[in-house]
Amino acid sequence: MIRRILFPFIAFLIVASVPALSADDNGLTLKLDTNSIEVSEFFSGTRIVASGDFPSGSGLIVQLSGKAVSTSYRLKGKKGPFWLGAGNVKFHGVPWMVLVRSTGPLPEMLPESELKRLGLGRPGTAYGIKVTGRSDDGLMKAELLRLKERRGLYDFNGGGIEIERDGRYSCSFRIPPDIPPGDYRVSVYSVINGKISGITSQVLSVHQKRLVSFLKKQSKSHPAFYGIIAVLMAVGAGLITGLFAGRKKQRGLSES
Amino acid sequence: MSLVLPVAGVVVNPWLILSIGLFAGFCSGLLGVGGGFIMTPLLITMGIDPVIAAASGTNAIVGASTTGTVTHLRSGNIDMKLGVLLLSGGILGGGAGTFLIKVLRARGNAVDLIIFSYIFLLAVMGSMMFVDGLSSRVREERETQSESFLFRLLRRIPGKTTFRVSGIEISPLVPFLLGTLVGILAAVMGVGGGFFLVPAMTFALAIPMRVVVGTNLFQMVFATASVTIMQALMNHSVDAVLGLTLIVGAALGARVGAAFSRVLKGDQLKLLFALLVLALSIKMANDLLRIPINLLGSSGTPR
Repeated sequence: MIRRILFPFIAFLIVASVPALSADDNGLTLKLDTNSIEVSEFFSGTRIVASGDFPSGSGLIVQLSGKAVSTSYRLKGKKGPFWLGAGNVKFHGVPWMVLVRSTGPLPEMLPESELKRLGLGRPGTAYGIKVTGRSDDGLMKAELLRLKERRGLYDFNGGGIEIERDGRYSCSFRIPPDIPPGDYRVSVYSVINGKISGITSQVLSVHQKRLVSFLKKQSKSHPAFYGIIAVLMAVGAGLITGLFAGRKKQRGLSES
Repeated sequence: MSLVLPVAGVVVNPWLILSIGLFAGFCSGLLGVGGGFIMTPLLITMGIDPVIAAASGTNAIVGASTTGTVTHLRSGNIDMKLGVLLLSGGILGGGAGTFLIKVLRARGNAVDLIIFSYIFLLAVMGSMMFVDGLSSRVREERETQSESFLFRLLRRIPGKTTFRVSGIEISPLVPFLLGTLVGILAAVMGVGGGFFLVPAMTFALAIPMRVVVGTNLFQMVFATASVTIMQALMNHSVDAVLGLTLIVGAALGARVGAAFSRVLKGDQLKLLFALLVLALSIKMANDLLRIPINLLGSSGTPR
C-alpha cells in the first residue's frame, strides 16, 4: 500500500524538479533554467537563460514576450508654453515586455509579412497593437514602442545568441525587478532560407509573494479594507517610532 | 538593494526613499515646516507617478502626525470642538479633492494639477521663507498687520460659538471651511496642510500656539487618514509600502532635525532651505517647459 502511494509520489517529485523541456519534430529544443520567478519585497530582478539544440545550418530567433493587454497612457501636448496632459490614449494588444535574441537581423531572416503573422520583433509587435479613438495611430504606436525601448522593456535589436561547438545554442534575458505577475512566453524559431522550419516554446510564470502579493490583491479587490490597512500600518509605524524616540529622549535626559 | 512598491508597480532604492523621508523629517524638526510639501515633489522628481506620490505622501503624514497627537492629547493642548469642526471640513474637502483627482485622471490632467499646485506652492513658500530668513523683523510687522485685519473680518461672520480651550468666539463655519481647504490640499498634493493652517489659526484666529499645534496635528491625523482611505477606494493610488518607508525616515529625520535646531542658526538655514525649495519649483516648471522625450507618459493607473 505504502509502495503504491510512495512510488508515484517520488516519480512526480522527480519529474516536477526537472526544468521543463520542449521540442519540435525537427530537433529544435528549448530549456529555461527556470520556469518560475517569485517576486517578493526586495526582488531586484534576475536573469534567465534559454538553451537547447537546433537543426544545423538554420538561423535562430528567440523571443520573450508578455501577454498582450489593454493599457492607457497620458498624452502630452503643448498648451501655451507648457507641455501638459492632452487626454489619455488607449492601446490594446500591448505586451508588457518583448525581448528578442537572434542569430542575425530579423528583417534579413524573415519577410515582414511573416514577422507580422508570428508577432515577432518590431513589425510583429507593432502589428498586434491597436489604438482606439485616434487618427494618428501610427505616431502613437511609434511613441509607445520608443517609450518601451527606452525603458528596456522592448528590445528588438537581436543578437545575443551563443552557438556552441556541439550544435547547442544559449541566450539570456534580463528580467527587470518591476515585472508584473503573469505568464510570459519564451519562443524559439528556427529559420532556413527565409522560412520557419521549427517552433517550440516554454512558459515563464511570474508570481508575487508575501506582502507584495497581499497588498496588491487587497488594493484591487478590497480597496476600502486596503485603505484601512494602510492607515493602521502608518499609525502603528508612527507610534512605534514615537515610542523609540520617547525612550531615547528619556535616556538622554537621565544621562544629562 | 531594491524595494518593490506593490501598488505603484515600480521598484525603488529603499535607501533613497528613506533619505527623502529623512530629509523631510529633518526639515520639519529643524525649521518647523511641514515635511509633506517637500516629500511629494521629491518623490515626483525621482520618477514616482505624481498621483501615487501624493496619495502615499498623505498616508505617510498619518503616521508622522500620530505620535505628536498622542503627546498633545495627554497635555490637554487639543481643542476638541475646534478639531472636530476642522476634521469634518477636512473629510469633506478630502472627498472633493479625491473625486477631482479621479475625474482629472480620466481626462489625463491629474498630473498637471498636482505639478502646477506644487510649482505655485513651492514658489510661494520658498519666497516667503527667503524673505523671512533675510529679515525676521519685517515678518513680525507684516503678521501683526494681517492679524488685526483678518481677525476682525472673521469675527463678523454670524452664528458665533465659544471655543473654550482656544479662548475664542467665532462662527463654526470658519474652522469648517479652513478644514475643507486643508482636505482638498491633502487629497491633491499629499500635504498635511500645517503650513497653511498653523499661520491661519495663530494670526487670523488668535489661538494660543500650544493649542494650534495640538489641534492642527489632531485634525491632520484624521483628515489624512480619511483621504488615504478615499484615495485607496476611488483611485487605487495609495502605496502602503512607500508610505511606511517614508514614515520611518521622517521619524528619524525629525529627531535629528530637532537636535540640530538647538545648535544651528535658524535664519541662515531658512535661507538655504528656501533656495532649495525655490530650485525644486524651478525644476518642476522647467520640466513642463522642455520638449518631452516622449509624448506618452504614465496615466497614473496602478498596474
